[in-house]
Amino acid sequence: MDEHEDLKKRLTEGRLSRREFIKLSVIAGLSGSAVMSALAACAPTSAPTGAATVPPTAAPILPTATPAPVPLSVEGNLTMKLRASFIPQANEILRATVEQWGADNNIPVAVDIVSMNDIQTITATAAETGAGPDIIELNQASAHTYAQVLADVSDVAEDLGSRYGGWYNSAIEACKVSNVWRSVPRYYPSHAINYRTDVLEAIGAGVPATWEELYEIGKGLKAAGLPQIGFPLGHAVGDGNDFNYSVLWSYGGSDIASDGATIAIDSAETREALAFMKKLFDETMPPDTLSYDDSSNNRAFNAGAISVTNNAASIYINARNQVIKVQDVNGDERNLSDLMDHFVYPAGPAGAVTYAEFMSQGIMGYSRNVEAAKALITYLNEREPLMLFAMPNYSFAFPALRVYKDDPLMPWNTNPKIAAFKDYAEVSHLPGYPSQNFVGGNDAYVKWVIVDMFASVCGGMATIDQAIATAVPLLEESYS
Amino acid sequence: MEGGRVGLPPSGSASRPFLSGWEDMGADITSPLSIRERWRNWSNQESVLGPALVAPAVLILVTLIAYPFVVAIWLSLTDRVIARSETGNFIGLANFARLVNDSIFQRTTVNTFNYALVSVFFKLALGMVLALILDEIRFLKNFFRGIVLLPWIVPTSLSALVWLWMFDPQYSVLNWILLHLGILHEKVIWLGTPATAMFSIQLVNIWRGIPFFAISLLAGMQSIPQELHEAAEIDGANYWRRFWNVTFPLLMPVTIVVTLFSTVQTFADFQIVYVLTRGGPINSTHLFATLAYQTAILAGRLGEGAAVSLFMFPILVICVILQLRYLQKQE
Repeated sequence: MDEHEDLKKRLTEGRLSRREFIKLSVIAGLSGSAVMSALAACAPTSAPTGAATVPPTAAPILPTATPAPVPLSVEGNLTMKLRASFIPQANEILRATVEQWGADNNIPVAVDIVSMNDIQTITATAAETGAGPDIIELNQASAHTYAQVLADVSDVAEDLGSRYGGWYNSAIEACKVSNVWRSVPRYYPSHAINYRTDVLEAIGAGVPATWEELYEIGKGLKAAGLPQIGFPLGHAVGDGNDFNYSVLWSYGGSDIASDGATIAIDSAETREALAFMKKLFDETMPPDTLSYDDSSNNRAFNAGAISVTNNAASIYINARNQVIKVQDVNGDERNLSDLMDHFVYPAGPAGAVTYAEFMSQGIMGYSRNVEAAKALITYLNEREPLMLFAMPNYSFAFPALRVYKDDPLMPWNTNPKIAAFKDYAEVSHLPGYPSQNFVGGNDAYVKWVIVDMFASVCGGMATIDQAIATAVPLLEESYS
Repeated sequence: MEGGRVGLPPSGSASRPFLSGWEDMGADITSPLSIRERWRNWSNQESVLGPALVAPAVLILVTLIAYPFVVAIWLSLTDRVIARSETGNFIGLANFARLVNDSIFQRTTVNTFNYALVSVFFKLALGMVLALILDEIRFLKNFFRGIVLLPWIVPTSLSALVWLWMFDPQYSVLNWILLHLGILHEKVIWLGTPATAMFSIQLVNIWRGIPFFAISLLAGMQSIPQELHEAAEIDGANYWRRFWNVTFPLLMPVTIVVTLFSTVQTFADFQIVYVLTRGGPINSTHLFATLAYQTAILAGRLGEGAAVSLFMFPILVICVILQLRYLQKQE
């Protein structure tokens, strides 16, 4: 295999360094199409050993990229703060892509990739001081919270939506405020339930369709002395909110009524969800899940301490890229990624309603480089750069544009182990659901009201009634 | 230039106009001072030089402390919300009144007092023990004194990250040691329950704060005249009698100042909690500073967040007043 072929193969496997990415771009004549051809050629080989390749579910819709016109100059640098992926290669490729765009268009760009926990602080500081980056990657429905200080990006969002099959509903809800797009949807760090196939097979369990079935599996695992199920009940920004909100909603409970003003947490459905969570915790989960943060469940899974958890595909991808070894149920050392698979969030009495982790890109109103920023955001969402970003990221970054769901090159259509992430954007919702009061939903989410309500019951610090009674005034304040 | 230091006006001329100084110094009026010399004379007057030297410190205090403080007071009296132009209206003490009835704030108040008082007590007690040990060490004295300072020197956020690993539910080295020593029979969930989480953050604060107490108290011990110890020893006082009757009373001024200083810092602590627990589980480790951050920055309620942080103010003022009064009494 010559160097070019090796680089292409490593690109599709997400093992390409920034330096190597740039090298490949140069080899390909800086042509995204050439790189895409390489990806297309290599796509089938990206499936893991032993995994069958899933045929694409629909013919690809591949609009020709039409980059927006780029102004010749900007004031100072065009600066952007982006959320870091849990998959390091994705960050490098994203940075290289932005810098390459800057070089191609003779625009100095400064891209800063920061932790997910810092994004909210950066946004608040920039909004309040009127100074900071031109572009910020906003989490959840922050576009509603910061609508007054974000530039109108309707032209960019409408243009991309019309050319790429439209946006998912939750993306529209998150970014469109009073009929004006205040940020451009970017991606969902899509979630599914990660599990060890050998462990579930050992007790004869299949993939559960409901939370109750998962509870039964959990009891079986504990009784058999096998690695237990472990969901985060601590202040885990992504995984903790994802799990707890999903259980609440799929049991028909919610913190707010659809009118956006009536607090709805004190309901029979919420009590049912809390009762379920209590028995799930007591009878199936290790107690240290009360302290799990976003990385704790990853580490526990990698160590073979738990066999079922909720997460993006980053556990799987990092296990594969880093060749993490684990003992299987027979005591043999195996590659963890070979022993893993994923299934969608189970359903409750109200169906499968999942919490959405979501990112969008907003341009700050104080920016003097709005047009250049729009051009860059448009470019990043064109098919070729987006594919470059999504390929190493696999399903960690599920694009908010519908066309990619059935794109045959996208990882969820080539690797059955991550096919479970494919419908995440369709069934997931943002805090504030089922209303449109996303400002209040965001307030309750940053205060951990729902996570703490479940954790206090699971940890025995409160009864179900006490936990609800504690949550009510907090939610009243958040949604006021 | 007879009778005076070159370039300095005689005493008593400090407040005079700058052109009058050279006449008093007996300078030759037929050869007036150059502009440079006049400038030097003027600027060397006490009434000019004093304020000029203090000005940078005042500027820093005003811009970095006084101004933000005044803004914080104003914000706490308004309904200001980040990125909302219609907010910022004066609402009096409504933020404070609302906080008093807020369950998270009530919990935070208890947490903060628990955290600060327990931590400061153990930092003082253990710091005193460490200072006494260091005072006795003669071999590699400087090495031990240097190494003791390490927890104090390492940036708080960095050491908190290391502790985060030590408290990790999966890889906790503390659990490993305690289990292998037979002290524990099952692992402790350090950050998972309210009691253990509070204990954990106090442990880190104590670990980090002991060196400050130890080195400060050690400095105080070494200023105690050795003759007093020798006299007490001749009178038959054993080690503990000498400590309680000589060392401890004479160390009291340093002890009070260090304790009050540490109390102020501990009440306002932020980094340890933010890195280890973010206020969880179930708000059981929120301190005023972390709750203020969550309220003002993450939730965007600047007015309410400012009110949370200002609740600390009376406590800290009391500490500072006690400190200043004690120092004045000493003088």
